[in-house]
Amino acid sequence: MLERLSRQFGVLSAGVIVFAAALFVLPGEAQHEQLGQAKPPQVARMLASMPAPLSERAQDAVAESCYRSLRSTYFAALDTPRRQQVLDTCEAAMSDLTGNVPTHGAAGLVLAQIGVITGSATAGALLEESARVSPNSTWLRLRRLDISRASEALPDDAALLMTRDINDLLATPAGQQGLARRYLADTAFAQKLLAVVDTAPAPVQKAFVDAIRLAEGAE
Amino acid sequence: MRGRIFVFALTAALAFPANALESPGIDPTTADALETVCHAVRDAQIQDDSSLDGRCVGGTGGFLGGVMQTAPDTIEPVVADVTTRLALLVEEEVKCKLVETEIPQAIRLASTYSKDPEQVERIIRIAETIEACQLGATQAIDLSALREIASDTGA
Repeated sequence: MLERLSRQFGVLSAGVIVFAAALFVLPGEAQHEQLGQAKPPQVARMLASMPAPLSERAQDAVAESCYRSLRSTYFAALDTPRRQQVLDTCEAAMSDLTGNVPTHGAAGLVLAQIGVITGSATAGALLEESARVSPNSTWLRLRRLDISRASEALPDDAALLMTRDINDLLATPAGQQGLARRYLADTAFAQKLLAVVDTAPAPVQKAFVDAIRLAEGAE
Repeated sequence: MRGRIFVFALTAALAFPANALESPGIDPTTADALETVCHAVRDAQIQDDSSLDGRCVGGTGGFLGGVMQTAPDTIEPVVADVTTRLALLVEEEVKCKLVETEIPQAIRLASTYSKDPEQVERIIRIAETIEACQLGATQAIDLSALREIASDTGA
C-alpha cells in the first residue's frame, strides 16, 4: 500500500508529465479526478486552469490534492519559487472554496496548514477556525494534529488546540487508533501524547494501550 | 582470438550501455536508472554486503553533474525529484537499518547541486530526519503521512 501511494505521488516520470500535459486538453470537470496523481507544481498548474464553479466532489478533490501536496517529500525538497507557487495556488483555491462554502472543513484545514508551513501569525486562529467548522470529524482532527505536530514552532493557541484534539480523539475507537499509529511513528509526539493520556480516566488509558497493541500487530 | 573477444566486448558494451550497477564507471543518465542503482545499493547494504558501496552516492553525483552540464536551468526540480526518490527508498518496515545505508549521504550530495540555499537547507533536513530515524516526525518525510492518510480515510 505504501509503495503504491508513494508511487502515485512521489515519483516524477515521463508518463506523469505526459499525462499531466494531457489533462489540459480534458474538460475541466474531469481534471479533478487526476489531481491526486500529480506532483505539486502540476497540481498548481491544474488548479490554475480549473473552471469555476467546481462541483462538490471536485472541491473535495482539490482540497485533498493540496493537503497531500503540502505534506509530500517532493514539496519539502522543492526549490523556493516552485514551492511558493504551490503555496500561492493552493491558498487561492482554498480561499475560493471557503469563500463559497464557509463550512468546507478540508479547505479550511489546508489554509491552516499553509499558515503553519509559512509560519503565519494567524496559523493558530486558522487551526481553531478549522476545528470550529468541523467539530465532529475524526479524520480532520487527526489531520489537524499532523499539521501541528509537524510544526517546529507551534503557536501557544495551536498547542492548546492540539491537547484538546488529543482528548477528543481519545474518546472514540477511531480516534484512539489514529493516535496509536502516530504514537508508534513519531517518538517526539509520543511524549506529548503520553502527557495528555496520563490525565485521562483509567478506562480511556486502557483503551489507548489496547489500540497501541492493535497498531503494533498491524505493522 | 583475443582481438575477436575484444571486439565482441566492445560491441556488447556499445549495444548494451549504461547498466550502471555492473559498470561502476558509467553514470546513470536518467532518474529511473539512478533509483535502480540506489535501490540495489540499499538492499545490499541492509544485508551488510559492501560490494556496491559508493555506487548510489557516485551515481547521484554523476547523474546530477550530467544534468548540470546539459540542462542547468532544470537542476532544482531534478534535485527535488532525486531527493524524493531516495527518501522513498527508506521504508519504515526495515526500521532504522536503512539509515545506515548511504542513501542519506546521497541526499546530502544531491542538495549541493541546488543554487537555492533554502532548498538546500530543507533537503539536508530530510537527510537528517532519515539519519535520526524520525521518519514519522516531521513534514520533511511524508511516508508515515501517506500511510496515515490511507488508514484514516479507510483507503
